[in-house]
Amino acid sequence: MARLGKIQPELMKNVRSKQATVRYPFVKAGINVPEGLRARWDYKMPERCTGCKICERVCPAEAIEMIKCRPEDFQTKTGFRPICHLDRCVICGQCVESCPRGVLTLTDSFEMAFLSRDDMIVY
Amino acid sequence: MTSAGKRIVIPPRVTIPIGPQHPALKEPGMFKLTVEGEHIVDAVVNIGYNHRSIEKIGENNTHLQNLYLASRICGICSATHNGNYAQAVEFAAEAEIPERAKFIRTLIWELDRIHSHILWLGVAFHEVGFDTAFMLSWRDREIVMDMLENISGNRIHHDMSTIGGVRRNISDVQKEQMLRGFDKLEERMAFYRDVAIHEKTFWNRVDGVGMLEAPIAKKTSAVGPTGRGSGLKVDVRFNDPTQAYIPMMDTGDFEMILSDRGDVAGRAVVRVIETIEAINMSRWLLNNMPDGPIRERVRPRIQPNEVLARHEAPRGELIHYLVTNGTNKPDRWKVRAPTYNNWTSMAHCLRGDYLADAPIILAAIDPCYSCTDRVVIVDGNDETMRLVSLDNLRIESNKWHKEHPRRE
Ligand code: SF4
Ligand code: SF4
Repeated sequence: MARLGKIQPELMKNVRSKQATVRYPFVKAGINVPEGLRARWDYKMPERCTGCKICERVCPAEAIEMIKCRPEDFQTKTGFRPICHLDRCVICGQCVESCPRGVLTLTDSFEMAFLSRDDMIVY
Repeated sequence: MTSAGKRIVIPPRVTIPIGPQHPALKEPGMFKLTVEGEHIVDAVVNIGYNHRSIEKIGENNTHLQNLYLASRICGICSATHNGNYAQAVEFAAEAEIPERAKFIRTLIWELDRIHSHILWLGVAFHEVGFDTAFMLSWRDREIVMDMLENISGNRIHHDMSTIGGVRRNISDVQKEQMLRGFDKLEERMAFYRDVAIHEKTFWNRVDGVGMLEAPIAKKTSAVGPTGRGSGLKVDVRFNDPTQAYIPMMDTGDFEMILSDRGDVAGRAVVRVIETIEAINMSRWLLNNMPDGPIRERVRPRIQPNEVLARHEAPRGELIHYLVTNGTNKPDRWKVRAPTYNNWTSMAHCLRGDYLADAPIILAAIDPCYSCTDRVVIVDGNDETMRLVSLDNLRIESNKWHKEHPRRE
């Protein structure tokens, strides 16, 4: 039953087919980024945020921290706004789903490697 | 002069520790193999090398947060843990979820099985040194990975199930794309089935290796493809269906894939044919998916209850045992992953085989790790490391929990 030669025709076919992978950091064309990809967290619409802290409470990874609004920020009703520590965020999207006012979003920018933890805080 | 040729040399018995990294899968796992020459005469499996205390963390989390924690128990079959936990909470709340949600959840489970089995097949090819087929099968696995990414937004941690349904809907465009993908995938899987069965490079390495006879498989309670490869009829999808498996099994179009070979080849054949069956199941699910809502609201506080949720994960029966207490946090959560059952059969499989076959025998149960033994505590502030024994860990954890009472 077992014999050699099952895979050879496939090998011959592959000699002429094109490369299956993308040379990623050098070439970005050909990367499949589907619509609705969950990636980097974003505080999209600050002006709608009430500072209710629901996002902080639901986050499973304790990635969201509520800080006092800085002068340059939009001043929310409670005076607090969320920031996200990307090093802890597991990109689940629960904060986006739970925010009653649709403030947060997960964008499709997937390049999230940084040299220091401080760079990983998203304001 | 003595004639060296006539002297019978009995090779000394040597015990070789394999691990703490699994030789096949680069994961923590510990084995002690006693060998006589090249023959394995005894094998001791030491499970529980790695302890992540997920269950304990889960007791301090809300049910909603645990969904994501559960999905991170395993990086390959994340959808099964995530879906099974959601199912357990729904059982405890005695909530009924919409039909469409059931279908989507089951679809994700089946897609997960397809990619997990192809991944295993690639690893198996790699373990026997057949890297061509390993590369090719993993290339074609991307078809199903792209499908999962397309519908859930993430390749690995799909996180599709939530308490009361699923989080994303499947559009008609996605449905069409997936149906096209299934045609391609089915054709490719038929090819890999033939490669696995007919190509000498693979078959001669797995034929008759790692025998696990049906009575022993039963005694060591092997589950999933490990048990089915020995002819045991163990498959929760057929024996105790939940979600959309109920209408699916009522059609009678699908059958449990069994093999009575009992060796690694049997387990490989079961997995490859099961992948093709899973593609057919996914196609059935897509074509018969009812319209309607995908989510039902379930109150966050779950009434006191005690439930056991079962699901057929790619590696076998997965159990989530959940005790709820009327708050939004579990009282006790216990996960019994299928690999735990399959480990015990491992010692038997290894005995009498060659040392060189150990990696493929170990890989044949498709192991996946999450258990208990000892931990390394790394202090984040000064980066020191120390080893803690189980007793000290218990004292420290009791102290921690006294200082940090549960938030209500
Ligand atoms: S982002 Fe949303 S959930 Fe978070 S504080 Fe603002 S309004 Fe509340
Ligand atoms: S995506 Fe998930 S982990 Fe990340 S901040 Fe939101 S809730 Fe937390």
